[in-house]
Amino acid sequence: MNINETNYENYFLLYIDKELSAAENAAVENFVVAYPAYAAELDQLKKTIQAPEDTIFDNKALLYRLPAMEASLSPDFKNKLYKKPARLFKVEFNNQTKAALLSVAAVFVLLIGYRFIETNSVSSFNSTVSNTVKPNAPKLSSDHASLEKKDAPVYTTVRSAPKKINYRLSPKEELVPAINPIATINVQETNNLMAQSMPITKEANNIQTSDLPSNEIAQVANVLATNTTSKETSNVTETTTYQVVDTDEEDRSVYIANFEIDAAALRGITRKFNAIFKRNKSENK
Amino acid sequence: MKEFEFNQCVDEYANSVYRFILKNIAHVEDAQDIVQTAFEKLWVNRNKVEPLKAKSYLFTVAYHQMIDHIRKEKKVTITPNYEEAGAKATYQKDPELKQVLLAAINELNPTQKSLVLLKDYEGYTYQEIGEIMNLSESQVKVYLYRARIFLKEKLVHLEKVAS
Repeated sequence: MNINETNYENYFLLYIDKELSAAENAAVENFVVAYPAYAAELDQLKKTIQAPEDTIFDNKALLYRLPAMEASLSPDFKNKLYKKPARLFKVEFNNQTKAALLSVAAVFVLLIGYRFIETNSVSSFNSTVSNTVKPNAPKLSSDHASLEKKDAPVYTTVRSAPKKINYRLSPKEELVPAINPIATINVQETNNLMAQSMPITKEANNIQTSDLPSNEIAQVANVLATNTTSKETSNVTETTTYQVVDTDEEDRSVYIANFEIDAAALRGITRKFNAIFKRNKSENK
Repeated sequence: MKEFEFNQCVDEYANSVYRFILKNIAHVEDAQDIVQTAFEKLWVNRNKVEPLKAKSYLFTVAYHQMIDHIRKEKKVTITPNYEEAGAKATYQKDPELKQVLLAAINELNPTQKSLVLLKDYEGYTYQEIGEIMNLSESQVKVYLYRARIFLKEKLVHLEKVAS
């Protein structure tokens, strides 16, 4: 290590910063002794060293950690404490919302209509049958065979939909007196009129009367007539019992035009609507 | 680092960190905030920081926090009041060396000031200062050298004025 007049400043700095080894420190001190002219400069540099002050941080209490400070609530519990604002439904009636509401309403109406058609498909079949029967009814005195064939499908359909409301069954009741003349069927007439009744009721083909001899047809007709009359009467009694039940709880179904609507469900919906509007009112207040 | 070790750090280093920051920014509340933040960070990272390194960790965090603070302050106020203090000190007939030196140090740029304070107050080596301030050892040496020469010139000038 060689301290000279060109590099002494650097060594002086390292000396006052205590970055030199013991040997280097000694070398610096020897240099100053050898060249007293530079001693003043070393003193000046020494004076630039700041004497540490006693500065006290007063708020140490803020920094200490105590075991109690680490106690914390679980996030789940905190979630329970948070206040959440109630959801408000604000509907702005612009064109878009109107279109959306209309489309929803249309779908709703279509669904109801479809359901109405679906539920009445069986009864509509009945009604078509009865309708076809009705014009034939005056002919019954002569067209017994056509009625004979309509008896079977009528009563089967009645069985398939026994819980229909009374007015739907009422056309079938009209059949009952019409059946009685079947007992006095003229076999030849039945054969003649068979062709007429064929296109009207395909179900009637179930009974293949054309293959049977006319006497047997007459017998079958008798049997069917008695059976159907008994079954019709039983059906009538059934409907009356349902009528009683319906009259007890008439308010269960509401009719809007031809749509049958469950009053209980409707009441539930109206209550919900009322609740919504009440809540909005209270919030507005 | 356990709780009691952390509290020990508070006892041992809170004053020196606070002094370091206060000397740099000359604002009591802000300095206290910075110290508090530094200790908060130490607590959060207590499992990563070895107890022996806690002091330099505190100084590092506090220093960088302070730099951020100075940058924010510069945007708001440009007039530092320490220059006035330095001017007053210069005009005193028989000024105390310490006061003159304080005034001179306040004229240093923030990096040089921090270097001088870390060296003189805390006795950190160049290497440690470099780690705290994110500088190389040679950078520390050069910056500190310049700061010392500046301070020395100030003192020499003052002595000439006084005499």
